[in-house]
Order: sequence, then C-alpha cells, then structure tokens
Amino acid sequence: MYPDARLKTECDPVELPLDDATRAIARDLLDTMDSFPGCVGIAAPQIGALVRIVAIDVSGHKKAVSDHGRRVLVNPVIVSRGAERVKMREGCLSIPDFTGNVTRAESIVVEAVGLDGAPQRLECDAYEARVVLHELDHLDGLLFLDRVQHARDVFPRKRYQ
Amino acid sequence: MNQFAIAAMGTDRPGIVAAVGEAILGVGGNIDDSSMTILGGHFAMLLVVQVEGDADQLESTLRPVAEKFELMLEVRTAAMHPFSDVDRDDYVVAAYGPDKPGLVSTISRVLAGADANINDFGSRLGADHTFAMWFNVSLAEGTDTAALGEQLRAEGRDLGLDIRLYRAEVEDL
Ligand SMILES: [Zn+2]
Repeated sequence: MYPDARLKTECDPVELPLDDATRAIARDLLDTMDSFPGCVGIAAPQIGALVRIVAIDVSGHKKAVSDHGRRVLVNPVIVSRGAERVKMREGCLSIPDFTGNVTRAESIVVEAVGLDGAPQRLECDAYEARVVLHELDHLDGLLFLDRVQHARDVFPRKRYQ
Repeated sequence: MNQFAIAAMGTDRPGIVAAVGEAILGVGGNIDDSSMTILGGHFAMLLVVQVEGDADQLESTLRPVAEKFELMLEVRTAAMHPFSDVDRDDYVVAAYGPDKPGLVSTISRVLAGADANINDFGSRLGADHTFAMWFNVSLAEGTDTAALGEQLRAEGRDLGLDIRLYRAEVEDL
C-alpha cells in the first residue's frame, strides 16, 4: 500500500529461463488477484516483489472487448499503441484513497513470456488494454496519479471496494 | 463594453451561480470566463464579464445578490491578460505523499524559483491522509526540464512526496 516505497521503484527484468522463485511470485500474484473480488490485474511490486511480472484477468468483465483470460506476463513490453486514446476512471488496490480519470491508448500490442516460458504476443483493446497499461506502469514505479493531468480528474473515496 | 473581474465567496448553497448570472444578464452583461469551486463547504467564484458602465455600477447591481447569499464580493476592472502564456510549454507537476504542513509552499516555491507560472492548481486529500496535488504550469523559455524535475524530486524526497514533472498531453480528437 502507498506510501510503501516499493510502489515507486522501477522493477528489474526477470532472468530467463524462469526459476522456482519466479514461479512462486507468479502464483502469489494469482492468489492475491483471486483474493480480491473483481480484481482484474495486479503487478509484482504490489505484493512487494520488485520484478517485472503482472497478472491480468478481465474474463467475463462487462467492459472487456478483447479477453485473453487469466494470464501471467513476465517481462512484458508494449510493442505498439494505437493512435486512439480514451479517458476512463481508474482505481488501484495500492492507493485506495482516490480514483482518477486517466487517458490511455485504446489498443496495444504487448509481448511477454508466459508462465510456461513461451513467448506471448497479445493484441489488447478497450478494458483489457487499460488493465495491461495500468499494471505495466506499476513495473516502472508509476501510479495512476502520475498519469492524471489535473486535480479535477481525481476523486477521493472512503474505502476501496 | 468594459471588462471586469468579479470575485465572490461564501457558504455554499443552491442558487448562488443562478442569482449572480441573472444579475449580470439583467444589465446586459456577458460572462467571458468563469471558475467556481467548493472547499469544505466554502463557495468561491471568479468571473470575467463584459458589461457597460464602471466597476461601482456593476458592484451595486450585484450587491443585493451578495447580501441575500451573504457573499463576500469584490469587483475590479479587468486588465486584459497582463501575463501572457503564449509560446510557453505546458507541463504538469503531480506530487503526492502523506499529508503534512509545507507541501504546497515548498513545491510552489521551487516552481516560482524556476520562473514557472502556475496556471491552475488543485489538490485532493484522501481518507488515508494521502495528499495529492497537481500544478498546471507554463515553463519559462529555455527551462531545463530534466534539471527542474530532479530539483522537484529532491525537494519532495525531504518531505516524503513523490513528484513527477511531465508535459501536458493534448488530446486532438
Ligand atoms: Zn494498480
């Protein structure tokens, strides 16, 4: 939880091939994601691991268009972004004080290594693209507050739901 | 037509903007620009209007509204844009951290020292006492943004603030 300094730290790439320690972090990420109802993504620094791993799962979400299901992305890199950008209200488990309007690419292509060690290439759009971009920001020590352009785009809330 | 700035402040309640707007319209005035906010139940509004007459006449037009809503009221002749932001680059300074006194003053002093003009500023206080603020600034010509960003981060570190300076994105849709 913010202000834990690990949330503001750039994470290290994972050394390949994947070892047991990395797989344990990945499992922990999935377990943590499962323990929060409605959680659609989580990044390793949110559980205190400063490595470039995220987990996403937008399956069944009403705003999802592309839907690659439950995925662990190791060393994810955005290789392209569509020109269209959209504003959407975001919240984050790690900074429950606020929600905020953030403008992000509507479509992206992300390359990563999967839990099985095989390379993956995902074309994501709409809600899934937003989740990936939000989680990848965590790997660079960026919270959605770092993407907001004006206080008017930020809304205090009582408690994370 | 002459241009005036109107400032009004008081306890928030429904109908203030409508009453001020009607009073201005009633004397043939036009609202050129406006900003209003509510903080802790306090209402504050700044209007730039064009209307015939002088500041005293406009003030007496608005006086009954101010009395009805118990508003502090100030009317001034508006000089047209004494500070020009033309050709200045727009940047955002996002800064957040655990709330404590001195956050706003320290960061705004650094910006003033760099001759950056704050065009807009706002903050939010979260339930868990995270204080977050965004300065929308125009940087002076020739500003070394990397150095300014580093200076802001260094000042922020001492206060427990995380700070990021970035160019404001324009969405051409
Ligand atoms: Zn997050």
